[in-house]
Amino acid sequence: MDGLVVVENPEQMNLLGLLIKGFLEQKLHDPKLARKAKRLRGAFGMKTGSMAITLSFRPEGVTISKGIAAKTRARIDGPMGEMVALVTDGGLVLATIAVLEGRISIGGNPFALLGLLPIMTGKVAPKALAQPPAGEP
Amino acid sequence: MRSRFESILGPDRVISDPAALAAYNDDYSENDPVTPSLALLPESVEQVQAVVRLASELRVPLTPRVAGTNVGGLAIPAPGGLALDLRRMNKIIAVHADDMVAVIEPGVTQQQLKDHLDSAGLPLTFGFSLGPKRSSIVANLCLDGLHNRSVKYGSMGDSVAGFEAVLADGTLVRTGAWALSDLPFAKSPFPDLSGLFVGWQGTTGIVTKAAFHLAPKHPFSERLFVLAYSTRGTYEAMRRLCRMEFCDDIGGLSWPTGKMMLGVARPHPIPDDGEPRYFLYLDLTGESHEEMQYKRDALRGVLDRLRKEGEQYEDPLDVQTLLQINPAMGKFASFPTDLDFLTDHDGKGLTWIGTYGPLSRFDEAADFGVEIMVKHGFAPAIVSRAMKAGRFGVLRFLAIFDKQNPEEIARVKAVNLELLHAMADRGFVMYKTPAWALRELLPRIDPGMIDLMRRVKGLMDPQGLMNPGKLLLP
Repeated sequence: MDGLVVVENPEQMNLLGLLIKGFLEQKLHDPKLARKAKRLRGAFGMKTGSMAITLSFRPEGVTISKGIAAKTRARIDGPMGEMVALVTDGGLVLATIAVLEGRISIGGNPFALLGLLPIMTGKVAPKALAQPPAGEP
Repeated sequence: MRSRFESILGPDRVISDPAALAAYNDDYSENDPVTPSLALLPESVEQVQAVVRLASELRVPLTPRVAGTNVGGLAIPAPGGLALDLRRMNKIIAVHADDMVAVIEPGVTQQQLKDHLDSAGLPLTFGFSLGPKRSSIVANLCLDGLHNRSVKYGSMGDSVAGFEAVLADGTLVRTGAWALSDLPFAKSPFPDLSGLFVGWQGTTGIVTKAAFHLAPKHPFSERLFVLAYSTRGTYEAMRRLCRMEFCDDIGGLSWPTGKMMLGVARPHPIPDDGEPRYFLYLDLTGESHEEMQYKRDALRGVLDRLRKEGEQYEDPLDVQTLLQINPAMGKFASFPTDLDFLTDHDGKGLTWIGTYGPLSRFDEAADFGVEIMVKHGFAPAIVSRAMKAGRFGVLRFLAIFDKQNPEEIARVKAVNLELLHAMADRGFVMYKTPAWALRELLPRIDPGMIDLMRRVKGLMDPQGLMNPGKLLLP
């Protein structure tokens, strides 16, 4: 799969979709996470604030489209801060706690998320990570 | 003419090859290119003096230039004139660390001074423009641009402590306390003759050294982003945060600017429903963890109060976290910035109407500017920033375009013209004002000021050889 993430109509894509594109590209540069993604199938909805996207997983890559598709295996909805914390600090345990505490809600088949969450929360091997810039803000 | 300048500078410091001269004929903007007769590369003050004297004798115009990264055609030469390329005058003359003053030549770049301060281990920084790493600090001082400490210190001209400049007859002058003191600590207390070189776009003389104020660099720093869902929510937060005086920088990027940063060269002009309208960005610095936490809490308090008034924000996200989400955010994570998405696109064109104006009017002005940009088919990219503790600010409307496409050039000229008048109607004044804009605004500007500018110019440059045509001056 090697980082193949495609945004449908990028000129009209919302900020969530554009942020997630770069996020997934990093993840899928990691061979281990790329293998997991290659095995994943189907569409997953993601919503934060009023921005919604659908991630469609196919063997050849991931497509990000605007809005929640009519058919999704599962959907995840929460404030941006919670979603960001989930994927940056998270892991499955924290994700479960966030859901149980109602900070993040899920719809559809929650078990389907067990395939997606390891990719979203998985740690990328250091060599696959882009170097953050040094210097003051 | 060429041989006479070569006798001053040496043959390798005088460029006459047409292909090489093409590098001096334009900038990013839609302004028409003009190729200079020669490009001259002095390395010393004495050489600048000799060049100015010879130009005066030959009656040939001089246009100073360093990186050529301004967006207003200000370094495009006068027809038949010479480009005075000051990049080789790039010495950091002194850093008076205890007094927080640096003395530099015009070719010193933002990256160069940052590296110098960092390598010397000095807890000092300075105001960075949003220009690229290779941008000249002195050019930004002379053009009275803005910088990432503008919230505290105002425009770049406010940081000037004194100049050394070559006048049109070749004489050398030092301004500010530097006229008397060996340490150029301030432009006070003599009459402010430094002002003769700030905002004058090189029409009054050639600045060969600038003394300017540095700022303390604190051990803790972070940049926070807050997604705001309305114009009022963006600028009301900016106004309130300014008055609390704990942020080093407060700016707002509209949603298309954010999308450009994330790799979409030309976002659709209409936003997605429910999409945040602005990224507010805030720089916090401090001497301790406790101070940083206090400042974060103060920020959350402001946002919470505004939420109770009906505004909607996402919680602040620090840029290091956002970098984990999307490395493209790194373009705006540190200074000097690397906003290559504005210049390294297929069309290579970048233009803007950048104005200084009262923060109290930002909401209405920004919304009206958005309407104008959408009407002309441009994504409404705004970069804004509070200055001088909120007493005023900068509101910039950016358009990227294809420099080879006459239809697009006509469209950017039309949108800029309409924005210029719309902003002037609201009391906003274009900074680094190009001549075309000043010509448009001329009927609205106090005639006494225009007359005084012309009289000052006549006194400083009676032959009209110092960057003629800029500011509509001879």
